[in-house]
Amino acid sequence: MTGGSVHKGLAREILQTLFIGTELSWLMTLLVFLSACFGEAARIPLAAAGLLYPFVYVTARLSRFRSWPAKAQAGAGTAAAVLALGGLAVFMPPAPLISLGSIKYWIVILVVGGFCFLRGGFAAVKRIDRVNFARSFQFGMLTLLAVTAFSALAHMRQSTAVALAVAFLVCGFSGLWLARIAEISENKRTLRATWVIMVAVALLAFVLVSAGIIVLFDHELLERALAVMYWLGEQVGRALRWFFSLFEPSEQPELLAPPPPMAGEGAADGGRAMSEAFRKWTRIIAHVMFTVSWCSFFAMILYHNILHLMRWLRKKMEPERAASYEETDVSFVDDIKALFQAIVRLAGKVWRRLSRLGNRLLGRRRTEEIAIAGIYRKMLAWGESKGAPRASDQTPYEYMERLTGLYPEFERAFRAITDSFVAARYGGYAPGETDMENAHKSWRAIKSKPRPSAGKRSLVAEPER
Amino acid sequence: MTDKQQLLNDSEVEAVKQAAQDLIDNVEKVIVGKRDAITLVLVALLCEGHVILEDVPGVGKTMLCKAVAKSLRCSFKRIQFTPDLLPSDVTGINFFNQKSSQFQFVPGPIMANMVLADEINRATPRTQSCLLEAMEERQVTIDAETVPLERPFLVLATQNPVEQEGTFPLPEAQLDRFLLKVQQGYPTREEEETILRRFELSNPLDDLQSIYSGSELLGFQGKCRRIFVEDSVCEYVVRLVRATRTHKAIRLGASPRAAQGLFQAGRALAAIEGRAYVIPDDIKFLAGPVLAHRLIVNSEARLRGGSKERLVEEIVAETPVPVV
Repeated sequence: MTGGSVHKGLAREILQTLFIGTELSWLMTLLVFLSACFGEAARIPLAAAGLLYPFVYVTARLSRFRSWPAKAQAGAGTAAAVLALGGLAVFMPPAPLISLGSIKYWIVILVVGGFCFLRGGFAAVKRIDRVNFARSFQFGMLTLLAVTAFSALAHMRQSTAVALAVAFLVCGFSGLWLARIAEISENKRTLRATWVIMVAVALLAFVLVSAGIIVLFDHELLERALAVMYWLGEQVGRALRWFFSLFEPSEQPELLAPPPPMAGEGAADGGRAMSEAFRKWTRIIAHVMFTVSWCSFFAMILYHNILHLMRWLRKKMEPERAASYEETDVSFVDDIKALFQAIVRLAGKVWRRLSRLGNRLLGRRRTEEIAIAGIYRKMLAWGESKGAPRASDQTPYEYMERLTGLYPEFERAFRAITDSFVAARYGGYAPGETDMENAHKSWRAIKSKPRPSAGKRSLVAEPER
Repeated sequence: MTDKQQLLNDSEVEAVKQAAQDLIDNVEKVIVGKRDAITLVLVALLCEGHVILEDVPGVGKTMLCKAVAKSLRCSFKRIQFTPDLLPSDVTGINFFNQKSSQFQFVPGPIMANMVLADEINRATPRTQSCLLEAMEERQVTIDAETVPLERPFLVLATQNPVEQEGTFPLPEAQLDRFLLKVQQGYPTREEEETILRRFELSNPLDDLQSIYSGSELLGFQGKCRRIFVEDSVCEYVVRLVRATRTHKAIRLGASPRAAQGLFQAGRALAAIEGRAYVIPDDIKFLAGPVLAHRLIVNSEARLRGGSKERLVEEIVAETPVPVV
């Protein structure tokens, strides 16, 4: 991997997927907020919109929209979805026909329909490979939206729905990440089986996490679910007591004891206080999700812009290396590392240019000249420590020849440092970034290796035997 | 110090380097294995200095001069110095044309861009002096009339250090006018075999083509004058030259003209090497050819048999090079 090069790779794909995933969270959060604003009445159409949206999205992204008719198709599909929403709002219970007069319904339809239209239109200008689409995270959207629809239809608490959505996103992304890493590490071989396994694991994790969320946070639902279990347990206990009572003649077994009261009824007060707290938390989570989704959207935009800017700058500054900044497939960690290295290097370049300008304005010797002189002095000191000090009448190149004669393995390193130093010292040419890098690298190579060359004279006379 | 803003850019330096390489390659079609000598002649060419080639007979001194002259599309004249050569034979004369009844100037062979003064030590001091005046002043005076010499003007003189009978060795004071003294030396065994093969069927000098003109050479000379010399390198030149004046074995050291010559020659060599700046290595390489022939050693050193070149090497070894 070329040091400092920025790749199209997993980093971008993760961010893109995050963008897509958070787009879904927008939609879901939008639905949740609208539901909270408009109450029960909006629940059905919102659920229907959540179900229909992915079909519009999929349609828009599958087709290669480069021509106006194709875009018109996307627009038509979106319009159809909006109309379908309206139809559902009209005909699906408990939204009777008279609800058409409700402004809330139309606001909901317009907002959701507008979102679908805008998103569908945005997606229409992008091209997506059908194969990649099949492997992408898109089908997870269907699951997420199914969750949303279910939460709307099953009277699930909003907090639970939000938490489930978060769990789904986390598990889904983890599965995607693992699958992509596996795919890249296998050198792009077709990994349908691995994909299926990874996504299945992700879904299973989602189910488990969802169950955990429900168990831990949604006490009302939990208690409602547990009440049945309590009743069943009680019935079993009663049955056992009756059985054992057969062996006790004095006592009358109690059969068909009245069922215990529903746990929910008894715990209503405590549950209400808890639900308030969790409602507050889920609202916070929903806000966080919304913020994260917007941040990731802007991060995506920023990423792309930084990518293009850095490539343009690199081509300007190092045209001979421009060809190396091509897209490659590397691991996610290398990709992120390369991105940050490139950012740091770019920042360093900008800083050096500014300091050069400052030095020039102030009439100071340039920092690169000072730096290369420092490296050369270190090389001189190193040579002296090895018993080969520079003679006063030796020029830098003569000394370089002498050191090369003693340590031929460092010939290139000596030359790199000497060339840059001579140009700076006698010509006033500040070494460029590449020259400085070579000089630093050369110096590190020289000082890191111990004195390896064979046939070297020992500076200490061996004692006579 | 040269204003760095007027220094050569990379393309200009590359142009001079390429031209020098072309000239060297062209001359090497005739001269075998004497790259250093060719480079030194080229250095003199680029800084408008004159060269004296002193060596034993038959090593190619005249051939080198002719090859260099032929590589340039300049006027070239050869003067074979003999004891009976008169100054007017060198500079030219005004003679009375009876047909036109006017004095007519007939230019001498010195009126050329490149002059080969072959065996200069065989002419009388009087004849030598008229040549040397032209070398220094780049003009000749004939019958109280001063005639400037066309640029570029380069004198390549040769002399034989072996035969002393019937010769008039140039005094060191006058040798000072020559920028460089070049000694070719004998070729190696392989080089000598190559010479034999090369000259087997024909003289390659006859087929040698001119590759640059006089005006182009002037352009290259102008570029060389813009080669950057850092202060410490300039100081190094001065220290070297001044050291020749205080050496115990030297009666008369190098003059300021020598310092100037070493300075300019360093620039020319830097340009030939493709650099826009002079480095101490250039000065060290040129110190011997530029300074040695200008020195007058004392009798003790002469009796000891030490060469001037060896003295210059000692001085160079004792003079610290400016590095850090």
